[in-house]
Amino acid sequence: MSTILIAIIVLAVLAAVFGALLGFASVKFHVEGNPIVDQVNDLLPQTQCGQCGYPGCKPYAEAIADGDKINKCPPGGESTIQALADLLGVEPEPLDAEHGAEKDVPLVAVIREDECIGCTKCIQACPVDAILGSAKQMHTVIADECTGCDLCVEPCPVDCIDMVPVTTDKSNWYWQAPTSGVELIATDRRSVPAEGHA
Amino acid sequence: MSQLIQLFDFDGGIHPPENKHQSNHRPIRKAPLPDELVLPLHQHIGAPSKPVVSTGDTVLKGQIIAEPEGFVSAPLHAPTSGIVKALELRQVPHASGLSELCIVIEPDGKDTWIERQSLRSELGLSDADALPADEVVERIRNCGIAGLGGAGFPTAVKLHTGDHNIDTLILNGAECEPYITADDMLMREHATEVIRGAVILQGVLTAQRCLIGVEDNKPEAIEALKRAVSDNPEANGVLVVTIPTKYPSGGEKQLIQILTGKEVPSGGIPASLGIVCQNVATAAAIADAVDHGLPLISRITTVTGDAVRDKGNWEVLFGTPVSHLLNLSGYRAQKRERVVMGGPMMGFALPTTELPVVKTTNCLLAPTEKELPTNNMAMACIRCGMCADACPADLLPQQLYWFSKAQELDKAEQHNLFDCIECGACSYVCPSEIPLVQYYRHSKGAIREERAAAEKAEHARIRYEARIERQEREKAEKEAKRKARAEATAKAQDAKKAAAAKKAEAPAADPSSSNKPSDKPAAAPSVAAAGKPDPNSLERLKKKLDSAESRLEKARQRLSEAEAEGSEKVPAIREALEAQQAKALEAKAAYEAARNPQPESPAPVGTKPDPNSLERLKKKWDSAESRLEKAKQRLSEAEAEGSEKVDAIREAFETQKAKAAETKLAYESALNPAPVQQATSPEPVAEATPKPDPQSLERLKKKWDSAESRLEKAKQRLSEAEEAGSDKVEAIREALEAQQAKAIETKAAYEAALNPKPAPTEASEADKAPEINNKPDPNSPERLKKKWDSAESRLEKAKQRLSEAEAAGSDKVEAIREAMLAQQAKAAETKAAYEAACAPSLSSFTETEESQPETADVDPELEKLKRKVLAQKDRVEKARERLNMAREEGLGSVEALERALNKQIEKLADLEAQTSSAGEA
Amino acid sequence: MALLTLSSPHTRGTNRTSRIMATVALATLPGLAVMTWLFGYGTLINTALAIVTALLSEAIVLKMRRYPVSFFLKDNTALVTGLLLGLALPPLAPWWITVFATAFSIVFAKQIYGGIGNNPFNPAMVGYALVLISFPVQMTTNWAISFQVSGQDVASFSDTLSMIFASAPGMADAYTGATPLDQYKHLIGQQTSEQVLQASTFNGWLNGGWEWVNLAFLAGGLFLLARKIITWHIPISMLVALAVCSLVLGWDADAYTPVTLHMLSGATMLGAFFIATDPVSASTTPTGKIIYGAGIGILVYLIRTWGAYPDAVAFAVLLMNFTAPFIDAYTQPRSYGHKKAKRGLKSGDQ
Repeated sequence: MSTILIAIIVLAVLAAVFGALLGFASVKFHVEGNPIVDQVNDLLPQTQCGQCGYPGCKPYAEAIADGDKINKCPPGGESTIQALADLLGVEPEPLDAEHGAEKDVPLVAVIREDECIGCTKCIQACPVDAILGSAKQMHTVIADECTGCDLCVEPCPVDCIDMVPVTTDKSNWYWQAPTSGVELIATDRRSVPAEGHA
Repeated sequence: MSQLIQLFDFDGGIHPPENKHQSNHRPIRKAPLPDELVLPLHQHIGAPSKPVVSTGDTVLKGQIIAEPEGFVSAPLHAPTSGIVKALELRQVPHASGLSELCIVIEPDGKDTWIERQSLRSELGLSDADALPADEVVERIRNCGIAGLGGAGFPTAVKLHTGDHNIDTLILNGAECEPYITADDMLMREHATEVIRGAVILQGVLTAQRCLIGVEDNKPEAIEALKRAVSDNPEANGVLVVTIPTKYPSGGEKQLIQILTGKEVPSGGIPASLGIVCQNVATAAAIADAVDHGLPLISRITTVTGDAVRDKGNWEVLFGTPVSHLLNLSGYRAQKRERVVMGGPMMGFALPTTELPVVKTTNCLLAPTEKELPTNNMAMACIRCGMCADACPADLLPQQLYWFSKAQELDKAEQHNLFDCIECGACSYVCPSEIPLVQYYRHSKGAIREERAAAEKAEHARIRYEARIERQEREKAEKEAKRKARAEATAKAQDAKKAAAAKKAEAPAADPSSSNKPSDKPAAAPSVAAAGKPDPNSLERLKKKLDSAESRLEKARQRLSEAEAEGSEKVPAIREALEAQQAKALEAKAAYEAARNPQPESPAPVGTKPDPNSLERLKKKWDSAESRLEKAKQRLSEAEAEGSEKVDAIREAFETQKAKAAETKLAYESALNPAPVQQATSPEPVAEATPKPDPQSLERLKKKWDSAESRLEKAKQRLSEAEEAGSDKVEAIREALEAQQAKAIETKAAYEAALNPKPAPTEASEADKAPEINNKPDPNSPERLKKKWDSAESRLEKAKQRLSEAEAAGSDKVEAIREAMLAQQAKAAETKAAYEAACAPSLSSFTETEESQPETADVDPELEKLKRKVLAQKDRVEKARERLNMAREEGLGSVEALERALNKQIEKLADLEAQTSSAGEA
Repeated sequence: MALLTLSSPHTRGTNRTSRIMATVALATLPGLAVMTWLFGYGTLINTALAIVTALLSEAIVLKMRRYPVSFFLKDNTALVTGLLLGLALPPLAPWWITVFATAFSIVFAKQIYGGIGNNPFNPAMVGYALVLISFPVQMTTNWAISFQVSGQDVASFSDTLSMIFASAPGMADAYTGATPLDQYKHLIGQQTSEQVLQASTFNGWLNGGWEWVNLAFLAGGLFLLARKIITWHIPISMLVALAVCSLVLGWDADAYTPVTLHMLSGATMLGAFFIATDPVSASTTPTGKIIYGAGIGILVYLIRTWGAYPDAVAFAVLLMNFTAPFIDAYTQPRSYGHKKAKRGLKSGDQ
């Protein structure tokens, strides 16, 4: 009888001690956690293009936090899906084609200015206020601010907005990864590389 | 002079064959003028300079042709006198081979200098005076001096050391790269200038000492410098230090480590250690700039390599084509042709020789394949670690290589990828011939790109949030304004009411105990025994009717809009519409009930025919209340959803509220003064009224008038909105059109009533009923005919408006065209309805009922597509016109327009295909 | 005019993988010569057999992988693998052991991982460990007794051939026995150190002839150091660790194998200079190399002293191969301009 009692008491004391320890630790080492929505939002490309079906990246981040799929962001593409999967601890899924395909080059909107009639529709459509102009005045895109979401293309009544690839200049050009060399062969391949002259 | 300082060593490093003897045996030669000089605007680190000359300008040697843009930038000077031939994109000497804006100068051969003077004479100082530091820095900046060692960092910027206290100036004369002898020759031939520059720099920086580090493979240069130091009385703080030859001792960080034993913190600048490092050539250029006012327009460049016969150093004007220099040196093209700008370790191979010499071009190396074999196929990394032994930055190149290859950029960064100076020592020693540096360059670029993307995303997020916030604020402001307006009008109305009540009180000595300023219809009739129908109440009712009608119209419009958009709000809007319809009906009934009995019995019992019977009013109130409830609900829903419709809905809600209050008031006032009478006979009257009602001309006239006035108002509103550039313009215009249509209709009704006196009841019936409520009674052919006619006339008008707008080149064309198309569709619809009604069928009622939904249902998609096709055709037409116009006028935009046209045509074809396929389906 | 545009540097040193491997092979020659002198033609025959097998299996796999065969064969890595394996195996081991070990090391320990540069384990040691575990009898008893020590006549070339290829059972027994390390370990329990050294394996020699083998490999290793093919870190730390362990733990020669035997017997020098320094599977940072070498030294001592196997270089190297990436992660050098080395795994790394 007394052994059982002792056991119970010991267990209770232990529980109390560890409970107190845990409680202390949770207060002492409390981490001001970045809310999951913000973390998700940080991973999204912030194009605010709405291709995911939500009116912006933040709403989609909220939806993801509420359990929506992570593969609805074409601008982010596979890398974003991978990052989200890592963050949320879920399996990465292939990009949902329903929402569009990943673009291989970043685009920027350009208004053919001589055709612009100044209807301001694109200005209203731009989620990041990257288009300048006023009614009946020619509009122009601030290329640096443009996220390439192409939301302005549709509303344009005269179709004077083009999505063009971002131009490369000295400031954003960089070397390609080397392509020649046996050491690049990661897996067996069909074509036999040329014999070296070693 | 023996060395007085302790030397240190840096880790790693290699000893590649020096190959300097080929080019350091002959004195520096001056390169003759080429046919044209191409000056890229971006020869330095920082922002490109901004051209201040234009094509055709004549420039003198040393004249500024481009000014710095921003702090980290440098101006550009004409290297010789001549004419600015062009300002255009040219390929620039950069590993990317990209094109940038360049100023092309055609030399006139005279080489005429602009006026230039030393800083001392410019400031009017005597030889004894010390040169003010800021003036010197300004002069250095104005002379366009940028680091001549290879990076091209604007020197003046480097001299702004901020809070850092500089104690050591280091002049870099190491020139550790194989083959290059430009600095070597400069130090031999221009040692005096180098020392003079050192003295000037030392003065500017107030550095206690100046160390000139020269590798021990340049004994002549060391000798010359030492002589120059002893010749210059001011140079007592200058020390020429011989350092062991080891690549890359000429790297800024490595030289600092050799001379001081200190390491520049990662990501930091030497100034934080109290050190400023400059190239010897830069120092010489500074001496020239300060003492002689010579801007930086030329440099010494080594031309070497076995593919040139005549190796040596040239003093070259910037902008001189590489091919010009190579030809001067007896260049023989090789099978695997390579021309490297810079040295073999860090230089980059030029894509073509038609590139200019720029501020950073210290060497042109044209090697033969035998001399510098191109890489064999890279083999696998065997992790031998030789690269790590060679790395002067103590990195683990093989790890960086693995990470770079696997695109594990974060790990590469963790392994200090950005401390790599790309010296190439690792690649040099790699037994597997792996192009390590290229991997690092790629990874660095990829990381930078990623960073930029992240930055941009962050920026976009901020802008997006700001936009959302702004929109919300605007909405709130609008709401506040609207509320204020509503309050003002309510106040005004109250005031009016009070006035009216006073008036009513005065003449009639109203016995009603109500002390409220009640001009409510219920109260009035009791007073208005005088014989004339109470104008007040009648008017009120009329107004009410009108407003109900207009609201109905509006609601209908909204519905059709919503349907066109395929909005999810359609059912809700339809509900609202029905409510409105009911209300309009009610209002009409009330109005007529009030109006009717008057002509018949000018002196009625007064109370009896009161249309505003208590019950009726109660009912009205109730329904208003319920509608208010509904509206409230809708509003809260919309708010919860954050719908953009919130505003509109709120407005509707507000009016509902007002209405509810009104009806309540009416009810209460009716309840108060005459609680008994009301019970008697209002209902039969009310019910009887609509049917036998003979539409008086007057009524129609009035209606027409009011429609006209409303039209007027709407027009005014539209023009106001247009002026303000409001985004509501479209909506207002549509409303205007609706008003117009109504005006026409009422006019037609009026005229119809005026003209065909026979069967007035019928006409009025036909006229009236449908107006109140279209749906339950789309009946008589006449009415349909009329409807059709009016639709036709509206269409006509719309067309006219469209052509007007097109002629005027208005930007509203599109909208107008859409409206026109809508009209067209409507006209077709009404026509169909009319024809159906005219057809043999007696029960036109059911038929039209059926046919209408049918036409609508036939295929709304198809209908839409067809409409789109029409619109698209129009657009094509328009584009073609524009193109023709542009062609006629020879505008530059022809091409763009052509493209646009093609695009439009493509779209049209697309749409047509869609339509036909939809049609088949 | 299109010119060649390649990334800098545009010049290369003379280091080449093939040259490095050839130098390594060259450095083994003194050891090979001494072993042949002591143990007869068996060493030569087995080494040649291992080299041929290595090259052949490499060629076959490369062909199957559609890689350029001659390009890769010329890097000499297969040659070195075969050579080292041939030196490590008992001189009179039956041919199939050699072939099996070599083929396995090339095919499974090297090519299956992606070929040169990608193998996490030392291929030669994988092959060696495999046959050691699979055929312990042949591997531990087939060690030739030094002809020089025993005073026997050197077995003729044809006799050796038949011993290796025909596995003539009776004949080989005359020439084989346990290695000095094995013998000492087994006898020291019952005898004093002096008595042990009288045994046939030693026959008065310090280490039964193995001292010369090890000295020869030491000479080869010093040559590699001089040529800067290897760095001092791994061999020195391994030898120091082994020496310290045997001095501290095995100071009593009557109870434990003495330090001289540890240092100059078995595969100590071959392991220290030729096997542990295999760059592909070893640690790569300077500090890491020291830890890695010391780890091998300690493991060698532990396994030799308390393990079931007479020698331990293969197991020690393989065990330390496991730890190499981990060691690397925690021993990054301090880079220029950094106050402290960034070390360890970044959070989020697995």
